[in-house]
This record gives sequence, structure tokens and C-alpha cells, in this order.
Amino acid sequence: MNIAFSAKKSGIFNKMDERFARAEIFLIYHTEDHTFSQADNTSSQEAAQGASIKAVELLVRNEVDAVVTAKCGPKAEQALEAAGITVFITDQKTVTLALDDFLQNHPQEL
Amino acid sequence: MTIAAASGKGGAGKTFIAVNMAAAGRISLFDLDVEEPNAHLYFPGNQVSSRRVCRSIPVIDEKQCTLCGECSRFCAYHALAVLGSTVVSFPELCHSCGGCTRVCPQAAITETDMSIGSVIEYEGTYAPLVQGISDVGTAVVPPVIHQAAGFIDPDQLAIIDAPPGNNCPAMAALSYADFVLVVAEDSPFGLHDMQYLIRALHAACKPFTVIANKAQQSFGGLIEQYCRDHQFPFLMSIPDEPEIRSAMSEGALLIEKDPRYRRIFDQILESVTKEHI
Repeated sequence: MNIAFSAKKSGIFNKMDERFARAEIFLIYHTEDHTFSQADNTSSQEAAQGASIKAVELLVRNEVDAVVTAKCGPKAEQALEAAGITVFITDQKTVTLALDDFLQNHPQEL
Repeated sequence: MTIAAASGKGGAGKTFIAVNMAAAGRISLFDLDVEEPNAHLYFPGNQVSSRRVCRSIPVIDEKQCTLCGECSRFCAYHALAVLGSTVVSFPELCHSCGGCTRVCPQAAITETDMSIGSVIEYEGTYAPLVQGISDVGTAVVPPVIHQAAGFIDPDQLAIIDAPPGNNCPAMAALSYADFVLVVAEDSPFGLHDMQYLIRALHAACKPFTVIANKAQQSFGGLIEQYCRDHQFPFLMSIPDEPEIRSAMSEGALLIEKDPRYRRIFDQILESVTKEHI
């Protein structure tokens, strides 16, 4: 399973970006081998409109199954649902804390 | 000749200037602030017609679609996306260019009309009023503005109540103006937003003059001073008087309540038309 975290910059100890679609980067955790990869979201960040749709397309290309973020708009929700990506809301401030939060609260997802 | 009342900031007094000037001169009024039209509240009249404004949005035939993604790659506005085993369309983001219908190799995309607003005509006591009004939730409003502006007769005098700011709706409305009255609230906030509007007007090569509204002693003629310093045309200051505020909150025309103002609005109109006809 691949879990994406909306983050401000690369590096797992760095801050989560509270916004889903306008996050600079997605850090993707692979549960099979406990590794991280990343997907650059700057082109969605700079989009005049439809950023959330672009961001979801990026996640689809990266075969993401779930996304952990603090906030998610109605268009993003609609697109994520169509793509079959589950959303988990967190208020944790860094990627590692958000991952711990996710693993503790949703062990059944793994 | 078409004169528009515009402002960088909302609540600066565009509608106040537009309705009183139109009533004083018995000039057709066009409320192009389609996201929140309010000129009709001040401009007495009866509705005579209402027409829907529609634009084209894509419809995807899922049986024909092979999920190739050509449409979503083409769409600059991200109104279409191939997600999983379906194409999701977001009509509110679509700009109706029709490109997706052309690039689809399966010819699986056709177009249908979506309502985005209406244009309402009023037979006013003073003059006709045409109002554009967008449907709630419509993100792309310039088509409503263009439809309403289609009623402007360029050979007659016309007044536009423009949307605030310097964004797409404001510039769409101002594209019909021969001359712009920049209504600026006499405050630091009003000055800041006026600077942006003036930059947009320069870029669009629109002649303008500035009216400082709600002028207060405490700010010491901020807008007027700025215009003098930068050699921008400045027409007049309208003081922040309680009777203006009460006329506006009652939905009344100030020229009806106070004949002194009838002269002021005649004067505005005269100075604008004299110089620019």
C-alpha cells in the first residue's frame, strides 16, 4: 500500500502542508518495504485553478492508495473518490508524526 | 459613449455613483457586477424580460471512451481528469473552449448547455436598467457580463456599474467602457486597491478620472494627494456625509433626497462627456 502525505518540502522530519492540493510535495510511504519516495506537486501549486484535480492525477500516476492531509476541498474529495484514494485527516505537524498517527489509528488499513 | 463606475476595493461607492448619475441624466444603466448586482435596489423600475445565459460543457460517452487521457492533457483548466476507470468532469472549471471534443480520438465527447446566469431588463422610471446576474456557485462569470453588455447601444450614452477589483469579471465589464470613473474610498485600504485598478486601466489603455468617495478629514485627502503626486486625473471628493449613508441604506436615490447632489452628478456627467466625446 502507498500512502501519500501532503508536505511543505522533502524530508520526512519536515512539516506537513495543511492544504492538500497546494502542497509543494507529496511524500509517499510504501508499507511493503517501509521506504519513502516523493512526488513533486509544484505544477498543481502554481495552477490558476483545478489544483486539486492535478494533484489527484499526480497521486494516480504514483499509484497512491491513501492520502493523509489536514484539509481537503470538495473538488479534491470528488476526484479522490473517483480515483479510489482514501483520505485520512490529521492535525499532526510533521510527516513522521502524521505517519505514526496514521499507523496507530488505522492499523486495519494496512 | 459608455462610462463605467469602477473601483479597486468593494464598497467604495460604484453603485452610488452609477445609479445617481444614470438617474440624474436619464441614461441607460448596465449592472455588470453580476456576482452581486444591486443597482436595481436603487433604480426604480419593472422587470420586462429575463433571459438565461448558458455555456457549453463536455459530456463524455463512457461506452466510447477508452480512458486515453487526451482530453485531460489538453484541458488547461483541469476540467477533465482520467481517474481510475472513469473520466471525471468538473463543469464549473470549464471555459467552454470545445478543445476536448476536438482532441478526443474516439469522438466520445459532445457538448451540452449549462446555465450560468441570466440577463434581466427593467423598464426604469428614469431610464432602462439591464442587469446581469450569475447563478450561485458559477466560477466563470464573464460570459454573463458579455451577454448583458450586448444590450449596450454604443451610439447612446450608457453607464456601467462594474464589478470591484481588477480581475477577469472587472476587466470584462470595463472592456465595454470608453471612459472609467475610478471610485476610490478615501482610506489607506481604498488607496492600495485603487493603485492596482489604475495599473490595470493603464495596461488596457482606458482613459479614467478618480473620484474620492467617503472623504474624511482624518485621512487628509489621501486619494486626491496621491493623484496629484502621480499626475493622475482627479475629478472631485465626495464627503462622508450621514445623509448619503442613510439614503444608501434606505435604497433611495440621493438626488431625490437632496437637490444639491443632482447638480453634483450633472457636473460629473458634464465634465466626463465634454472631454471625451
